[in-house]
Amino acid sequence: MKRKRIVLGWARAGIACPDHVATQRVGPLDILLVDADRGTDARARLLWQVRCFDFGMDFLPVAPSIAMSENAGRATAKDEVKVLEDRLDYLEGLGQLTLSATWRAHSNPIQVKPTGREWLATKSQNLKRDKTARQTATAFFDLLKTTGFETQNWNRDQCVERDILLPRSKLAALTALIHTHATTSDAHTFKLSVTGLWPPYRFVQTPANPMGAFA
Amino acid sequence: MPVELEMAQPEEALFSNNSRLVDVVDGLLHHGVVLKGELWLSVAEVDLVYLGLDLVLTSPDRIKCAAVVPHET
Repeated sequence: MKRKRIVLGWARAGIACPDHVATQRVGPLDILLVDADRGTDARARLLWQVRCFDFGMDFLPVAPSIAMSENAGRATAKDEVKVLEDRLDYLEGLGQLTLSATWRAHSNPIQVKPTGREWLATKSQNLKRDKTARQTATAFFDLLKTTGFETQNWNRDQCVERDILLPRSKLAALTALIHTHATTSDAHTFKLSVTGLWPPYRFVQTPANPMGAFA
Repeated sequence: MPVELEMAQPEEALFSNNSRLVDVVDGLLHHGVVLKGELWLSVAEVDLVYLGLDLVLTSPDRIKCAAVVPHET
């Protein structure tokens, strides 16, 4: 009985893979596959994609939250070969560095003495601190913009994130720059996490057409 | 006072219990290539919904179509 396999992404044909990752040729592309029992959840699939990327592979990653079947991957490779090739060309040699600035709320309004005025005052204070932290973090990220790489920003509660698409060869220089700015900065309103290089999850879209070719 | 800085390789972040790194990883799970599927149903020979697979190269928050549902199986 044929084992069920999950699609990790698509790459140029003939690419070398790490152990336990298989390929299936479809025209000019290879579908990257892993046994379903090795990719049982999103984090497991993300781990396999990271291992492929660390192996030196350039590929278009499937969103890890999706357990894409081999048939769907094959159909996509056949039907959308031009779109996939164009994106692979664009992303060749590139990976994603993720900068995440986080801060705590000053205090929980619920824990403050529960008069309406005090609750409002605490809430207002938190909003001001949140705004200041976001501005400080964004200004810090903007110091790095001179590198000229494509970036994306994401906002969450008590967090602002910037993803940078950069060549693998530039990683050491950029992380050194980040380290220099962090240690010489006077900003202490946030903590900074730098992770990467990841596969280019947040850059699979066509910049000129964020909805992709099939919107 | 310098910025408190933490650097991690992707595999370190994946296996870390640090809540900041956990949030970073969780933020990536829904990004990448997704397929949009729709089910077409016919009633009285009238095609109302059609089943197909479309490649969507975008991020979830930019998807305007309500039919896109990233999921785990």
